[in-house]
Amino acid sequence: MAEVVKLKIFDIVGGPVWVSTEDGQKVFEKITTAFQANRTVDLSFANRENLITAFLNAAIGQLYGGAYQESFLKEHLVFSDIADDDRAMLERAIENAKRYFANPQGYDQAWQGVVDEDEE
Amino acid sequence: MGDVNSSMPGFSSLAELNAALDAYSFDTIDLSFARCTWFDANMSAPLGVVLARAVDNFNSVELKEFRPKVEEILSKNAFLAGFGFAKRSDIYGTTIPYRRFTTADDRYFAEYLNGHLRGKDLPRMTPALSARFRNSILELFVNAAMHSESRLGIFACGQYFPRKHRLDFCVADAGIGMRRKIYKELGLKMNSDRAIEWALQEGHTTRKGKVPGGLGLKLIREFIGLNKGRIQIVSDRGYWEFNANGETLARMDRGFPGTVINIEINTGDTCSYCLRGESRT
Repeated sequence: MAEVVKLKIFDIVGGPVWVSTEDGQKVFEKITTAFQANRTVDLSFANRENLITAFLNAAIGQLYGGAYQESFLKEHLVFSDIADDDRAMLERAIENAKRYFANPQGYDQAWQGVVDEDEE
Repeated sequence: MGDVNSSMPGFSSLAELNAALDAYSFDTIDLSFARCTWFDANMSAPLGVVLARAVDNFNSVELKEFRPKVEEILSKNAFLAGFGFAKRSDIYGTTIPYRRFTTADDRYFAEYLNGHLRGKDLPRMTPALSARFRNSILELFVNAAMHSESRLGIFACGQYFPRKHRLDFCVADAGIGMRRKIYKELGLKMNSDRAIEWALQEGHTTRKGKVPGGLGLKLIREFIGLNKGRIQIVSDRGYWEFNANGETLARMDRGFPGTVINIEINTGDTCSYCLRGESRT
């Protein structure tokens, strides 16, 4: 078992508002740097004021983009101090990320439709 | 300018106004509100988009001939302060004031929202419902900032209607709209009503690259469904509404110059206060 490092989102972002993709990216980079140093990450959601999926997609969702196996992430990334609603949102963001990376835009052509002249 | 409610006719009349103002540049525009007997305060956000475009076209815009009630509504939420009217105090504390933000203002926007939705006279909500509402609005703001390409910024305004037990909040941008954005990023051509439908599907996003997207609107829709509230999305000519009675998808005669999302929560529905993680008391 790799040594555990506790990362607090509050400290990485510098406050309790966790909404932007840019701030999510900072968290993502901290996590991956810790992984490279062979650490297990305990990601703390303590002191959260606002949290939305746009932030989670960048912070956590992109971990599922292929660089790490799901089994590795299960073993090396744990979440603490997280409210039930936030955990539910996080789980949805992870499922959404897996689908996004498994099938990038593959089903979209079904939406290609007849367009009225005035909307061309 | 006639009456403007949070409804398809209300959005249509703002789209008509936009089309009329598009004919002017380097001009002085006197906009009469003499025929307007009611204006839903949250609709100040899309009105802000229309007037900002007119000003951006080097026009000078003057608003006049208000009926007292309408002037009071638009003064209390600070909309008219940008047009030389004095701000009036909001003694009942039912207003979340009109503001215009840049697309980079996410933290400032969060501060505005967190501050105003803790107002003493706004409806008492459980912490979970209040957080879900605030975060839904933040999601709308970040979506608009990320996708709309709105050079003129993002416009926001909210209003609590105590008698109806409804709290409305509207986020509007002056961007390219969903239909054009989907075509630009993905090459998919569709009518503007269908473009809204596309954007509402879980996993659908115009994002490309390493960061996934396409979840925010879906979660907001689920939340509003639980709450028995309402969402309206207007983008270009597309109009979509979801409420307790079902969904409406339609096309307006004129296009709105951007995207508007109005979300309304039902503050009188005590069941929906019991979100996950909370027990009913």
